[in-house]
Amino acid sequence: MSDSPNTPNANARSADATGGAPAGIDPRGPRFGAAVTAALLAITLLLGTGPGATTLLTVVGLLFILGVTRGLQGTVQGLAFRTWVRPRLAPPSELEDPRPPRFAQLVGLLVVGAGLVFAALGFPAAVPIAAAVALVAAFLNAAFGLCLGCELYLLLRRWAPQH
Amino acid sequence: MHTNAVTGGLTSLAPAAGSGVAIRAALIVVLLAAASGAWWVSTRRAARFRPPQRHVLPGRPAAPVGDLTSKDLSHELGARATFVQFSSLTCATCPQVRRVLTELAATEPGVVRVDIQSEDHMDLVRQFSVYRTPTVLLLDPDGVVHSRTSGPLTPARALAALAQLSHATTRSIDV
Repeated sequence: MSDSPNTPNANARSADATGGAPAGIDPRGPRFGAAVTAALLAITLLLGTGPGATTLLTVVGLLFILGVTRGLQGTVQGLAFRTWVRPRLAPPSELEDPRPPRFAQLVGLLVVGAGLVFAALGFPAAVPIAAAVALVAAFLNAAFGLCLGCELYLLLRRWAPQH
Repeated sequence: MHTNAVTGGLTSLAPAAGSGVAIRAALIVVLLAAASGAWWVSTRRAARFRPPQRHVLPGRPAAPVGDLTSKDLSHELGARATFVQFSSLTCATCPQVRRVLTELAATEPGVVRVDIQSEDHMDLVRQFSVYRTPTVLLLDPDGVVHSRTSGPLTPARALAALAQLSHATTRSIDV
């Protein structure tokens, strides 16, 4: 999966490139978090409709809220990654800006939140539909490192007013 | 009697519930396989260098969008070719592409590599229809966009695009 050989000065260079940006994070952290999220969403889908599925989707939504408000390092998955996964891995070859994956968490929250709102309004099918949409995004992130929310980030910056 | 009825009811229910989960599991597998397939196809498509598409939007000037000057780039154009890489803060693949192109510029005479930080050059991002990073434009010696690609880049694909450009330039000189 790793697409790049290790370079000794990679960290220094990304720090230069990011300028005033927040410190870079290990890109494998968001991918691990996405794998956890994908597993929870897959179980949600297996449960179909009903209180169990709604509860689990609410849990996923709460995890997204943590990711949006505190950044990925502040999530339960981020803590699990730092505690159990990262000590077993080699140092990252590249660091990643933490803002795009955090933005992707917001996209995930909007999808899951919409599902829960529609379910509360009397459309129980909204729970598996929202779970399926979020599952595709989380799965692509975990399996291939493709961050759908991050791709939206540049699109939105294009549409943002020029300053 | 009662227990019999209950267990009978349960055993008749269990296969139904089991098959429901099995169907959902199958649907999940199909969904993820479709997502993987779509990802694979779009990645393969994006990885090839392809000619730029010139969309002429109604209400927009039909001016050629395909030219970049050394002033735009704050960098001299290569005598043979220039690879312009659009990077961004959001980009995990950009360093890999940067390494490939830096290596190419160092080994191939007349080839120059220019890095553009998309956030600081949104005018160029819009002008050249850059929707994701990394996007790489391959310019001919006059600064006209010959081809473009996005996503991860292998040295072989970059070399092939360069060879195609050299072929095209030689041919147009012959004509």
